[in-house]
Amino acid sequence: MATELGMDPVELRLKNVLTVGKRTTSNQLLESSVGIEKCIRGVAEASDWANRRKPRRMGERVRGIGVGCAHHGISTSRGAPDWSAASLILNEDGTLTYRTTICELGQGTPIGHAKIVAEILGAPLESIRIEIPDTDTMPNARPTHGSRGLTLGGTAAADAALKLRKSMVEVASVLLECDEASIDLRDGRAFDKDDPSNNIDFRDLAHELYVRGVNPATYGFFVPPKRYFDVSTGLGVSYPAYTFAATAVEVEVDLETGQVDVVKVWPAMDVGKAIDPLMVDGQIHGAISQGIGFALMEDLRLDDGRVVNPNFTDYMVPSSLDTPEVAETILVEEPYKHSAFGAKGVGEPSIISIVPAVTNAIYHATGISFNTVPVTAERLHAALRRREQ
Amino acid sequence: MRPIPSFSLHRPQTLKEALGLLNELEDSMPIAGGTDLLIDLREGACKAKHLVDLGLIKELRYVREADDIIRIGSMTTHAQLVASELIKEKAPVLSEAASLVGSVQIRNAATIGGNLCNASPGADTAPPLLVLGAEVEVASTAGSRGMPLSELFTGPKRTSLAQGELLTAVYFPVPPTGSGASFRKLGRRKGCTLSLINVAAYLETDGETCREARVAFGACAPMPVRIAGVEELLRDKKIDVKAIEEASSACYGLVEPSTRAHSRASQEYRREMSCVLMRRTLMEAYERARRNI
Repeated sequence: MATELGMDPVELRLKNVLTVGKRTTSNQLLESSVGIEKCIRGVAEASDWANRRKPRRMGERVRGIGVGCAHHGISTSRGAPDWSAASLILNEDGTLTYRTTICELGQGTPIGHAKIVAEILGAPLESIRIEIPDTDTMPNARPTHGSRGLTLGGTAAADAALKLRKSMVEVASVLLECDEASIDLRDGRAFDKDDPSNNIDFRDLAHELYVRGVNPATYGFFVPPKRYFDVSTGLGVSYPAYTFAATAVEVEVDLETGQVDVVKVWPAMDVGKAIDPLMVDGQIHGAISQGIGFALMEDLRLDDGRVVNPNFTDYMVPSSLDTPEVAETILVEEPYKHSAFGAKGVGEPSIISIVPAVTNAIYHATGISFNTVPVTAERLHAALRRREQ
Repeated sequence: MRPIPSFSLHRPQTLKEALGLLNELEDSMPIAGGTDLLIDLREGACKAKHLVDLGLIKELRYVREADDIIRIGSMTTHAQLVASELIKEKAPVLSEAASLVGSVQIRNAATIGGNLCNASPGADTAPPLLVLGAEVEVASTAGSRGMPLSELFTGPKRTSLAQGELLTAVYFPVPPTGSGASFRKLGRRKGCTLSLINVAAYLETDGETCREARVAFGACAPMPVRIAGVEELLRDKKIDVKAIEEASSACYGLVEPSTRAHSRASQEYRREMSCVLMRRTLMEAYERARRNI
């Protein structure tokens, strides 16, 4: 569309981008936490967009740059009810046991929950034991999907931590003989803010909770604000919050073979609040690799309903050699007002903008636009040949 | 996943012992690195009651040079080929091809003898060895014989080896001064990929004249093949960029890639790529030959 309008793709996107006060395609008013404009400007600046938009041909190889944008709803879609739960126990030795039914799939969400708990209670992260999810012994935190694990699950964790904090502060104020408002919890100790030499460690504090009959275990629960969505018209509040992302991708195309080499990727994401910036990077870097696979090689081939490439010899996923240089993630933090620290999910939003950014970069390099993936070397080569004729 | 049908494993320490076992045991097969064979056994593409593992036979694992001939024991792994200073210095084209086979794990296990005897049409070590003029040594309880590598391949996954025969070595003359060779492969990703097509070229030049030209393709025929039509266009003629371009364009009509429905690339794409890769490989071989004076 940018080409037909004679506009730069970044300019076109900035002109039409969602901002606070605008409405989505389902007529949902976006009241806050809309960081897409900052994401687009961020990747354009970091990638030196204007200069890279000049065509660069080196023999049979040509470079192109493209941009892709994404927004992805957090929690259940179409306003379906959603909630989350968590449990927290202050053990007698001052350590903590945290339970959630949000699962660890390698993405690290339960560690994100523990970081939220650690922040609220002033407890060392290593003093928190995260138990393996058990739906028999825990209220349902609902599934680990919809990029909701941190936003929903982490907010339930915060609720549990705030309740426990209240009990700990209450007992600490008695033991340290000061007002509750003067109690500060940090580094595994309770302090009197006005006289930090007056303090007690969590081991002794926990013991006193038990002795004094103050409940050392809490449950946390979180329900996002009620949403209304009309499935017959497709209008209404679809999701409580959206994560936004933009990615710029530079490719180098071999015009003789059709091979596409992803040279460099510049990612940006509005995550609300990065609870663990390194894990945000991990999700994004993984998604870049998967996105490149999606865009260039992953192809489940069927013959009369039968999969003809049911193995990794013929179902291609990117190897480490196919992984490009990835620029530093541009973190945009436009907090979601109802979640713990404003955090929004990162998992699914990471991959969405990669594929269009790759195909747009191929378009910039070759003038050939693809609306189906994967753009294999053979397909691109055939398209280049057709154009020659 | 289907389990591998059961078999008895024999682990001889010497070549003589191995040849004896292969001769005596019914339904027996040798196993080298096993990176292709185990998959074939699991998929039922081949069957064996007895596997004779050649992995403990030290006399089959070497790379050496004597009397201007480089000899490579059949149980030499791809990783060992890549690490060999002798190969790197005197036949770098083989080093390069071996370094592009599979993954690190595959290269640590898979052997050059296995790569050749598996007789995949796209075997990556075959084209460089074909253009280096390699011969293979074949042994059985009856004795040993040599034959040109090109006579080993008889079709996809088929060789001219008889039951009880083992490929024990591959050897080729040390490439002379004024020669240069190059290898290229086209895969579906950058690493750990089967070749949609691979090509090796070898040139001997004397000033502006091409004294010898040998080119070979993989995955462009039922077996790795030399392409005489291209070689004739270059041999004993003036060599320059134009001659290379003309010879490369001729590949289109000289290769006969598979037309199988679920082939990893279409025949048309492979034909076109045969020209592109041939030109790039010849250009590199030519530049290397000119530097190698």
